[in-house]
Amino acid sequence: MKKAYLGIDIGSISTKGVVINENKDILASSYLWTMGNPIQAVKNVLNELCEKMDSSYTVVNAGTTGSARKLIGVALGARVVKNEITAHAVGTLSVVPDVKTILEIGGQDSKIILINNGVVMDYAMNTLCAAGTGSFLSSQAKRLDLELDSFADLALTSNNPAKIAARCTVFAESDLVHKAQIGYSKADIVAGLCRAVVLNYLNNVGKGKQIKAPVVFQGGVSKNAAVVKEFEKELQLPVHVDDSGHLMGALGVAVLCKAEKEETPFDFNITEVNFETKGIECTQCPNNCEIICVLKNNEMIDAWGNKCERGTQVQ
Amino acid sequence: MKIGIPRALLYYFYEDLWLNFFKNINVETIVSPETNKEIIRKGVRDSIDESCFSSKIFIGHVEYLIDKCDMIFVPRIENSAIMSEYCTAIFGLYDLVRNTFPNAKLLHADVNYLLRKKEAAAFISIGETLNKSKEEAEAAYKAAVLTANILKQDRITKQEALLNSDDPKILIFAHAYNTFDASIGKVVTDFCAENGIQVIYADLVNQKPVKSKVATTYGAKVYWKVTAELLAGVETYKDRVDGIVLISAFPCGPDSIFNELLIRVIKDKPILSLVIDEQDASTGIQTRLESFTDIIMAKRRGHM
Repeated sequence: MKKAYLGIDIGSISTKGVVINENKDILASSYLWTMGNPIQAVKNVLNELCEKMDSSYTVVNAGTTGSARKLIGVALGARVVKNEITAHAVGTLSVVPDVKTILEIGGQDSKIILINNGVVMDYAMNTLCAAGTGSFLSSQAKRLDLELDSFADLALTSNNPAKIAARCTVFAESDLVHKAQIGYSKADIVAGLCRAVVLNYLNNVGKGKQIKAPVVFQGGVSKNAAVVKEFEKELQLPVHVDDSGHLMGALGVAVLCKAEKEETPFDFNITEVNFETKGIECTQCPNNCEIICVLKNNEMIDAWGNKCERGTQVQ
Repeated sequence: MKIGIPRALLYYFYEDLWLNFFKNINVETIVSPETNKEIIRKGVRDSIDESCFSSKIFIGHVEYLIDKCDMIFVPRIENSAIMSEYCTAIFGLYDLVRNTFPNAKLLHADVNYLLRKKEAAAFISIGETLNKSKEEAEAAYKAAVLTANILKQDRITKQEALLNSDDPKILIFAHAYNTFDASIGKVVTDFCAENGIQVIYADLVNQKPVKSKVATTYGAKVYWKVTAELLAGVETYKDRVDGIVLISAFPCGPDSIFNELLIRVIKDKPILSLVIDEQDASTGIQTRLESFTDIIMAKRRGHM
């Protein structure tokens, strides 16, 4: 039997899955939209992975990361459930062992991870607000009636990016309308937006951090070549974007699965199982805890969210 | 006669002093319960948007107490010495509460060393309001101060023992009313307890030995009382912990300056800065705490 390890990264926008072998080579990968339904998205990813994977391999451990890591971890019986920061760092280190800085802009989160000698030394994440993340770019693209793919191409044609406030999405949006009204071309506005994302990131998330080469840029926004160009211009450093950059979180948990001493064989037939989730508000006390229940074929397998014992009665 | 004490803001600095004072003069007290969603909802509803989250919580606690006691204790404390100020949100409390709840009966006294209104005099005047003689109130105050000091020293000694343990340790840099509030800092302390991390509190410290060090590092005129204490704690404990967690309630004036300064000054310790407001975002906080813990654990081991 040849051993394989499965890592799944369930983000707000997309769901990624990776299967690796003992040499950490990627055997199969999948990248699909979450579309507000993490369980269905994971099933689709698993089906795709199962098709692509060489059937001589057996998945001996599975792991999850991303914002739905806990939910999916329970549903799949994952051995490793890890936060995105650690997962991304571990994944990236297995591809670029000397990486010093990881920039990441995802759908709702943006973060910076500083690494020294293979150890995460420091990191920062966007605070309360999602300004300048992928969802901002995609909503602005929609407003300008552009596909995200043509967005970057158009931005790259501009020699004169419009100045757009980078601090806050709301201001950026009104700025954008204003620039359009006074006659800036679409290309200049789009280029300005890409620049705003970079400046916003460096001024908020990257504030006070020493960004050293090699720099790796990840997350959905790293697929936007115009944003990459603006990063290079601003940092005066080469910025690497790996083709499989979007898979680093999934790869990271797969690598962590490999490091586990024990094994929990994983069965792809899980896609046939009916999972349901329920959110209930507990009314036993004024805290009104939001309790999440996970049901597998109508049987409850786990629940969480209650702050005290009283919540278990509700479940 | 029953005195209501809101479990918020100043309560967390003066719990021992206040409760012992009222006990010594034989006056019954009721402290509002730990912050819950109902208290937050009412506090947010009755506060102006610009108030910090901790002040909004305070208003919720006052409202909880209104029909459960004869008077609510809301002193106006501007400072505890000259150049040792509380922030405006705190010394404006009495006036804020008076205007928000015009019918509430408030027990109140002023402390302001710039106007020579000392703490002892404030407690004597409280005694007077409650029909206690000057002598009785003064004795009760002095005994309460003594008890409070002993309890604080006791906690510092216990913390010293924790600092010598081999467990991973984090230092919490936050106003006590945030650190210990069930809706703010408890998320962090619970997480640490579940994960075998010892929590060291920056404000549990004897300031004197590091006073000059704090002045040269962060500026001689840190005039916010609580911030000065917290910085003394950082200077005293930073080399003996694995990381520092800053917990702020949005929006906080002193924190907006000193959290930033701290992050720039301290280069050799992982720092996690959490800003908490009335939008319940515990998932995001969980992710940040988990990854922060991974970092300090990886550093202890020397590899990922």
